[in-house]
Amino acid sequence: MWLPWMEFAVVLAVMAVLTVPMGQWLARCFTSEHHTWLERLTYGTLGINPQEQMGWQRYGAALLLSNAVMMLLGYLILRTQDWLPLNPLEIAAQPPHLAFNTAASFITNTNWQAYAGESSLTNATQMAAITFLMFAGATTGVAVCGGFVRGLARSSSLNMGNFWVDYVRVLWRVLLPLSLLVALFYVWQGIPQTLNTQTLATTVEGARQQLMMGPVASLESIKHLGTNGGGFFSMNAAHPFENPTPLTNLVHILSMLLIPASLTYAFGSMLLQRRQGWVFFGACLVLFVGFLSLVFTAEQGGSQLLARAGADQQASITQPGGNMEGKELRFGIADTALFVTTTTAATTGSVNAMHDSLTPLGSITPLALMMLNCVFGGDGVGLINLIQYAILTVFLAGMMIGRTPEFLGKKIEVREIKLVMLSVLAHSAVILGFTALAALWPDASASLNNRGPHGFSEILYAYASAAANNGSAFAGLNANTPFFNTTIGLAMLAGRFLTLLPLLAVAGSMAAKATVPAGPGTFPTATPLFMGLLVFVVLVVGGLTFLPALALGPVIEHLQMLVGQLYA
Amino acid sequence: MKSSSSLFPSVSAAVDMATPTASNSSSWGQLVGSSVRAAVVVMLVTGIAYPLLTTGVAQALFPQAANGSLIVRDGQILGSALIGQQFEAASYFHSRPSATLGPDPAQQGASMASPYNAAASGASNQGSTHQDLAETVARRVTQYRMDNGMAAGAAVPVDAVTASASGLDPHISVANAALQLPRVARERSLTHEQVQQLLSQSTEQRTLYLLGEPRVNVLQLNLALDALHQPAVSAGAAKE
Amino acid sequence: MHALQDLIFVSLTVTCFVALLGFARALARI
Repeated sequence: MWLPWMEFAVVLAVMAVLTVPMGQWLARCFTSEHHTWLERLTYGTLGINPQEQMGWQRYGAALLLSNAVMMLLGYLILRTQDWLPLNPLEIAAQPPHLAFNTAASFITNTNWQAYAGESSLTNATQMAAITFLMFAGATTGVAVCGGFVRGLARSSSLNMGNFWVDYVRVLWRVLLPLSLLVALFYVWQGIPQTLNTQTLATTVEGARQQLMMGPVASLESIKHLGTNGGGFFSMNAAHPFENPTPLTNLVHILSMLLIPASLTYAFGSMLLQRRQGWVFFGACLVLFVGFLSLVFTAEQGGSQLLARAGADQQASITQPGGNMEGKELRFGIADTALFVTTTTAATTGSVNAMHDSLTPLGSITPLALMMLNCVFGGDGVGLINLIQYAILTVFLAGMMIGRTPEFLGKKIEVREIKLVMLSVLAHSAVILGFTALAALWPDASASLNNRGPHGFSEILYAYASAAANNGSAFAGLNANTPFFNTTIGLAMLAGRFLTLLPLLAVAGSMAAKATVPAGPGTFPTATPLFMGLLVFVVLVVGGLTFLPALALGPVIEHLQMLVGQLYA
Repeated sequence: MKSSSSLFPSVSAAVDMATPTASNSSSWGQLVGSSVRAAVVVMLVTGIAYPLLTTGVAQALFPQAANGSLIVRDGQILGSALIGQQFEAASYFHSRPSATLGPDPAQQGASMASPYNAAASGASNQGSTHQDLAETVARRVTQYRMDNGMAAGAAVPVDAVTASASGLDPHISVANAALQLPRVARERSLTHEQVQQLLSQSTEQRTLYLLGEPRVNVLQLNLALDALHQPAVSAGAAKE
Repeated sequence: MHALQDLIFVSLTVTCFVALLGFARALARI
């Protein structure tokens, strides 16, 4: 029974080792003075001047405008899918509410899919709309993080860099090359990469099997490296063509964690405070391991429903045991638990098992990780969210000892706290507000696949996923209705930009301040004590906000499962 | 490559202390213009060039894998080594239950159960308080015990009675295969040792001793059984 | 029919981003 824990330890150790070189590379990306010829060509094509320095407002405006146009372009492609090539099965265009939801979803790095990839998209749109927006959204996140950290690093400055330079560099120096290499590894392991839409087979027993395929590997790599999460197929990384072997599963996991974890190192490197970077890394790791233990133990313990029905859930050398409903055998319980934790910690949202079939206690892990949204977090935004909590922690500590809080050598003042609270409240308000609305909306209950508290969880999960820009789902929920498509679309946009913009303003504000030399009253933030405090604040703030909702969903469901209460 | 500095208007290098560009209509227009161009460029590069390049290289380096790891027997495509299939005959090892749906031929627009439908991956998405799940699993347990000559109340491996996440899972657990072995051996008039040998060959162990689970590829195993059973039907019959 | 819906959703998108730009501007005043 120690084998899974050993596996977890090895995987996390590998991730930690990869963090250093990747972090150094990212830091160089954000700070180097040298533009490559390819980048200069791109600047010329875009019509921008790489020497231009932007204040936080212009940076934010560039961010918003670029994302707006990309979302509209994605919408256009999805709406004209039936006119594009590579459509042998004559699949129709996505209806407007679905196209809105899909475009909003992918530009915000959420990748919530209210559609089934293999039956409602053509290979052309999987490439030109989906793969495109995956790169677009992910690059935005990482670039903004670069600007954000740069803002924190500067003092008495009104500028935080150039959005276009950050964007172009991340695209050419990080995401594209890595995606290509990882994609080729994936093909070697068995993930298809072809322009064919399908291959017809006749099974051994004589039935017809229509094997859908396409340019999967190229999508798969950016899907995880960019913490995107949208699957080529409906069942995402549970589908053998998206995740055929335990090795691809491992690379998916490492890819998801790579940039979020490395950004903690890059942060430390850019601020010349490496210990601070490791403190952040450590805080994320502690939370990660805690939630991983919860989901693994719950799933390995199995489901009472299955036990009562007569299934043997005992783990042994010949079977994985545990709750295997909605799980793939090649991943068993351990690899699935690790994937579930990673995908919601790093707000990716791809799944290698059906979260809707997780045990009630097990389902708390993905829900909580999305609600907290800072345990490594998504590409770029994860670090930004964590620093938001760090500022809050410093503020609370400062209040307790009666001193003006300081963080990274700058005083934290009223303006910063207001902005941080705006971001924290926006995230929670979106989740709880929309969940409440959907719970009351008359038609919404028709979309539920599970009744009772688990049905409530399906709705809660949907908006938590949207606000956190995660994208995974309790997939029993039929979210392809105008109500859900519109509200989830709005939740995704709000979750992304209403949290990002205030924090961009914080970075601009911090950049303008003068550095205060550390004195005897300064609260040290690069210590294990601060790490512990940070974890504590994250859990307390998250808990106070979300425990009531969790009580209505998974907790009640667990109690009812124990007594055998069933819902039709 | 020609230096592209001539493409920029002559702007003096901004000093760190310089004020940011004032928000006036021309710089807004500049942002919008750059945004439009960026969208098109990124779409062309990442949405068309990158996938096509990857496809070209992949097809050249790993053609079998890139096209779905297809299994061909006697010139016919039987399926993929990665995708599971439904097996119902008693002389075959059975796959895990699959919750995929397919179009109902009787009713236009309706769906019906269609296990291992590779055109529409799917799962039950039912949780631990769902009545349907309780009934379905209980039914599967009874059926499994009956199919495999087990006593009432005997332990049934959980993967044999639960649906996979994709509905296309090609594997079953070793415990599951071991319990089906007597039935298959009997149906094919083979000894337990003969079937066990094929079973061991189709069993994959954990990768690097740590990752994944020990698992049996059902399609591979059943094809090996067929090859054993009809050794001299056609001299050039492929072994898998 | 779809043309009207397209108009609605494109306008909704544009409105959202314009609102976000306004929101960013408002943040400067906090």
